[in-house]
Amino acid sequence: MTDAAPPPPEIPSPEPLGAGAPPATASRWNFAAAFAGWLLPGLGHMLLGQVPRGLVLAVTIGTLWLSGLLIGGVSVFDRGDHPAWFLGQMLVAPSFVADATRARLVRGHDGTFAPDDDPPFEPAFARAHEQGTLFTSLAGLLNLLAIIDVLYRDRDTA
Amino acid sequence: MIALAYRPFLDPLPIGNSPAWTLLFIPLVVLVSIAFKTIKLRDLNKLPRQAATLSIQIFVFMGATAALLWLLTRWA
Repeated sequence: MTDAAPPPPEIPSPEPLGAGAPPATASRWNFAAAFAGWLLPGLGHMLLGQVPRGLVLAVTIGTLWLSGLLIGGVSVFDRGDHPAWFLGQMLVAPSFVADATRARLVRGHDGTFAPDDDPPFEPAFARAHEQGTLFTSLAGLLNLLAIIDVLYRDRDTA
Repeated sequence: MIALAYRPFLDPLPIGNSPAWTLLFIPLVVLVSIAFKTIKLRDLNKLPRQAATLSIQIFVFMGATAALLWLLTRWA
């Protein structure tokens, strides 16, 4: 009988921290693309090389915004009278142009908005105003999702 | 009263208060579904099916909610 002790079991050395993690990518904040996406929905994705995704976003969010403008007319943009709704609408940059156009038309008109006074636009009421505001605000909120998505998206992600 | 000629994008659509305005929810839901799934999906090949599924889910749950509210207001 030998008194030699058996060799101790081999304990695997712990892996270095982060060894199992996926390789780091060249992610960074895409501020310019996010700004472009705010100016024109989908443009940010297109600038990152994701043209199909950008085109789909441009068509869907653009159609939603234009439909709201068509349904309710230019009076659905009014940051003075409807500031809460305009918070959603302003997430698509052309809303500022629409609001400025409405304000300019109001300033340039010295009569009332009765039909006899030939107003520059007919103010929207009831369902037309409600639906126009809903469509344009939803376009803005969807564009916010697109902006957040493009802000931190890898260029090589399909 | 003088009726003005309709000027697109300046004047509102003359939809009035007829029940037909509810049809506007169809393009609204479909467009929201497509835009949402475009952002969410990694593979855009799945977009038509996923967007259609989401649209149907929204319509079903909106209908169910409307039916529930109708029942509540009728019998509550």
